[in-house]
Amino acid sequence: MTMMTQLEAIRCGLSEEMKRDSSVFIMGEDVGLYGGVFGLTGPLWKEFGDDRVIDTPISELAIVGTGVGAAMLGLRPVVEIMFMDFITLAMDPIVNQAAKLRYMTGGKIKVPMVVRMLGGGGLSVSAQHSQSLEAWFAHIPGLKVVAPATAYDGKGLMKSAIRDDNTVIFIEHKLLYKSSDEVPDDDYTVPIGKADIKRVGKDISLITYSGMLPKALAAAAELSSEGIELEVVDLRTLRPLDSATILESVCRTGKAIVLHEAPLSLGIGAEVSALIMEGAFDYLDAPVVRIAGKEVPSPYNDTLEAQVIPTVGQIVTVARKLRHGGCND
Amino acid sequence: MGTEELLPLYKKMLEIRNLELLIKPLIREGLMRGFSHQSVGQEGVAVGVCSALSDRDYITSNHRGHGHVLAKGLELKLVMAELLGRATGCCGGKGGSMHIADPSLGILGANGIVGAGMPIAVGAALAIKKQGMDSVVACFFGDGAANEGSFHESLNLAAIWKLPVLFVCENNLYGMSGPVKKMLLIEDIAIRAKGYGMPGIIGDGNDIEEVHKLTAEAVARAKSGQGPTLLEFKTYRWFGHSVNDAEAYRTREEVEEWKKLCPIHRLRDKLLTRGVTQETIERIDSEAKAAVEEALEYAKNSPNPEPEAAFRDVYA
Amino acid sequence: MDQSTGKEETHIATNFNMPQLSLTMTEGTIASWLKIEGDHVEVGESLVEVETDKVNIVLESPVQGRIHKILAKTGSVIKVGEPLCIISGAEENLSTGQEARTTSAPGGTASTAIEYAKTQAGSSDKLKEERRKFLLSPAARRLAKEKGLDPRKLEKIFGDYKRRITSEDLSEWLEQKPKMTPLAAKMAEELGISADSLPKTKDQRITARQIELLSQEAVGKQIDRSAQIKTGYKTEATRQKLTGIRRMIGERMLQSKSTAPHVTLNREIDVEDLTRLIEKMNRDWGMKGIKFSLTHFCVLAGARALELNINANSSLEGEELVTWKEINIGLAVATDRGLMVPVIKQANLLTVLEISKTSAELTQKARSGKLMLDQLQGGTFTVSNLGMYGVDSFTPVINPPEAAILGINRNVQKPVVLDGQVAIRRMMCLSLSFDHRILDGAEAAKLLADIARPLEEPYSLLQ
Repeated sequence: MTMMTQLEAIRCGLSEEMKRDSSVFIMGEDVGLYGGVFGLTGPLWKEFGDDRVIDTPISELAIVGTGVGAAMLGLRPVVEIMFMDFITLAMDPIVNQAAKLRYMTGGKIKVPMVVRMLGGGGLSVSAQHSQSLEAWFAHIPGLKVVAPATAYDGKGLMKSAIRDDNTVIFIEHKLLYKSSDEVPDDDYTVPIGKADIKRVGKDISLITYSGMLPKALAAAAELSSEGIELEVVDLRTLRPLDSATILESVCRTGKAIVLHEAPLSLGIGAEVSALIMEGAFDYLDAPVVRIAGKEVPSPYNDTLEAQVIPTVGQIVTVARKLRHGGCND
Repeated sequence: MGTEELLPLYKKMLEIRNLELLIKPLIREGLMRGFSHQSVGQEGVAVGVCSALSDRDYITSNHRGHGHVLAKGLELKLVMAELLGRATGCCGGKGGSMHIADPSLGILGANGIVGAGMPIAVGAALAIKKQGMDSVVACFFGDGAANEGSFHESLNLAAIWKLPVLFVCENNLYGMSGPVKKMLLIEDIAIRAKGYGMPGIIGDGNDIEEVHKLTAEAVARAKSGQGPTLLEFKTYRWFGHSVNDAEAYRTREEVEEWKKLCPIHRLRDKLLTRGVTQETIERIDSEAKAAVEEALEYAKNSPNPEPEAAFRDVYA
Repeated sequence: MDQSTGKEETHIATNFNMPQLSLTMTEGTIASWLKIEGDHVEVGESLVEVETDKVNIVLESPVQGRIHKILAKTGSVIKVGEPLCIISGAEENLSTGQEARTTSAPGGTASTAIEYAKTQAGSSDKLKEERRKFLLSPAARRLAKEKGLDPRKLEKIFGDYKRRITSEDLSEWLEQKPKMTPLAAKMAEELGISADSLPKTKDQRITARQIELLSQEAVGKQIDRSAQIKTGYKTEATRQKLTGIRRMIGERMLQSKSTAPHVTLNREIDVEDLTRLIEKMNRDWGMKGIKFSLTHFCVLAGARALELNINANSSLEGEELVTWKEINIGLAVATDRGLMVPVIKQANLLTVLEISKTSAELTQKARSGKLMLDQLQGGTFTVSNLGMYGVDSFTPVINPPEAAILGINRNVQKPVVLDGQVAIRRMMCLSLSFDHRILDGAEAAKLLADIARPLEEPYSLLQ
């Protein structure tokens, strides 16, 4: 076991897979000599060279499209989109090509590509560098979408994503890069499509993923001293959602909160709420509550930005109200 | 090129044309649905380019791709069955006209998105180079696609990495209803190659021998590690953009003028002058006709896909 | 909080209900209203004076708003949980007769609403009004079906809750369990208070504060507020509510004095030898960080004296005299939160060194607020030293349910007659208060003598 940051863990997963399978290679802007915008890929470039860690021009569309083409011919590219916000320039290769080629050709083609995207706010990098767009991709049949929140899950899911024969969107969060936990040294994987109960509790199921996990756990610790026990469910995979784990938890607690950084409307929370309504209606003591980002672009000023992202205090307040007798309208 | 080489090309072009000519009647009959983009008049480019490629080489195609996939070696009956949406189609009836593919033949797919094939072709070429394969990728696209961002990004990327790609532009003078005169200030798209540091070659798309020659040169360049080439073949489509096109944007005179330059007729005339008999020509004509009719029969008698097929092959 | 815009929702009408002020309270009488209809109130402002069998108390407003309607007239008797008045939001229009939400004063909790989608338009409100007479959550409905419960019966039981009934409400009713807030449940578990000892309340949940009070009741202390006197003076004064430990001490003192007939015996003793001994011991032990004091010796003397007068190590439980086997001496410690009495267990079996160490530890913990509950419990006799404040003698109040308490006063050099001569000796007064129900004068005097003797002959305490 080694204590490492999530950034190191993801890098470790990439390194191990690149050693194990020579068809795995990395492509993206400034991933090589520069080392990657947060330093993730630099050591990999030092270890594997220009051939396996390829610097590209600023051409998101071509980068991802090239990934599709290379994957179609049997390689396993790990393509990096420096900030998730830039994916808009490369939507066609992901949505119209990678997600659909297998289906349209009746199973003749597969596109085993991983697209890494860095999202999330909290660093005052403003509206065009702080988004959480995972719901877009989770909505597309043919894609898989994962969003690890810990170092352990980061390494395990990276390995699974690379080994998966489909295009996997791998969502990273800027503020999680520094979080650390224990990571096994051996060759382990985290299965795609399985959620993880990070904290067992009897009162409320708090369902979340990615950047919000630390806040969920902090709120749970605070509420425990008041006798309210939260169960924190880390989704880990957004498509396909692990409905079995979600429903089992909510049937036990009878109350659910869905928490995400992305704006409220039509987000992952809406999907999970519908799932719970459909699958656990008779076990609910209160309607499902969603806590999410505000319906505004991310402001630059840090105080303003802090208002837009859910806080531990908000989670605690909602959980208290939910616990003390449920909805009252 | 010798007549032995040219005769199969002649037959191939005829087969393509015969199939394309069936599209409108099939749609009217209701046997074929959705959109279809016929390439009648452009057979010379498809067949000419593919004649310079081997089984080891790859192509990406666009929405007007029936000619490309047939020229690359896909069987008539598999294409026809796919157009009719049957289970026996090359994509099991799941893709249709614009998404025909067969990677075993090096056909990485027709594509419904203009310009989408270019980055894919670059990616395939990257894989070829990385794996040391003796192959090239020919990427078919039209004059309209030359204005997509993907064109510029793909050409630049292929050039800087010296990838074995042939960017084959079929300039048929119209991007849907947009005439090149209006949509470009330049006369020849090939000059854009200079902007990316690669050779830009112009050719008569309706002269199959010229197409073959220029393609072969580009293939040789690519295989020797000199990188990509932009090939621009001037040609013309006889029918509208798709089946529902009233063609208000061009004159009948222009169409008639270009019909005179038909690649099939020109090759036939060439073959006759080079000693091929009329009988041989007529024999090939009827063989090509029969082949397409046989394919149609095959397709018509094929079953529809079973309902469960709608849910298969979403994920590998 | 409106999740999408982040603004605090506008406050709408709330019922202000009769709170449960003690565990046994079931109803209260409106003594007088301090606000009238139309008045504006702030959070914490006094609203109404309520009388119960134990106490008169002024209730404060939990919300900001306007007194829309007073429902309980002065002099009326209102059951716990019933509304006293309606407080509306500042710009609230209540003429639509919307069903109000319930809140209550501190001392009880109530269910609060969670604002969900702001999509509730006016017309759908009316529809909801009509359909919403009695609501069961889906989980409650499932449980009811499972248990074969008749919905009409449920409506009779829960009909006046004015909120959605949850499966928790149902199972609590089925199991006849008391309703507690989560924090109260946690505290009850930690303090080892069984659910059976708690009263069953209807809609109100037992709070943590009430558990706290109960835990003190469990040790046998009853909170008697009947002697609260109202001053009629109108002169200027600062007012500060008695809370926390201060309040508890007051209650305990009152209870002690009013139940146990106190008699105090005073005896002046010669502590010349004792103080010299202590000085010497402190010189010897000073380097080891040990400090001995008169109090330590008094604790030991008291403990040993109780061995000889075991009747005094007793408590009165109803009509039964319980004589404790252990002699546990409580040491009164003044802290800035008030008087605390940590207990030195089995002091009679300890040496004076052990008493000194234990006492230092307990004093430090008491002053830093780190005493555990069991360190405050189990005392059978108390020692209280006011000597450092220059007090010559006083009448200490017994620490219930103990039988007696020893007060230590100041020691001062005095001229006394010794062997027919005038000598200067250090003298100190011991003040022993005793419960005349348990001991009589002679017994107490003997106890005091048994305490005094070893203090005047201190070397006996070193054995």
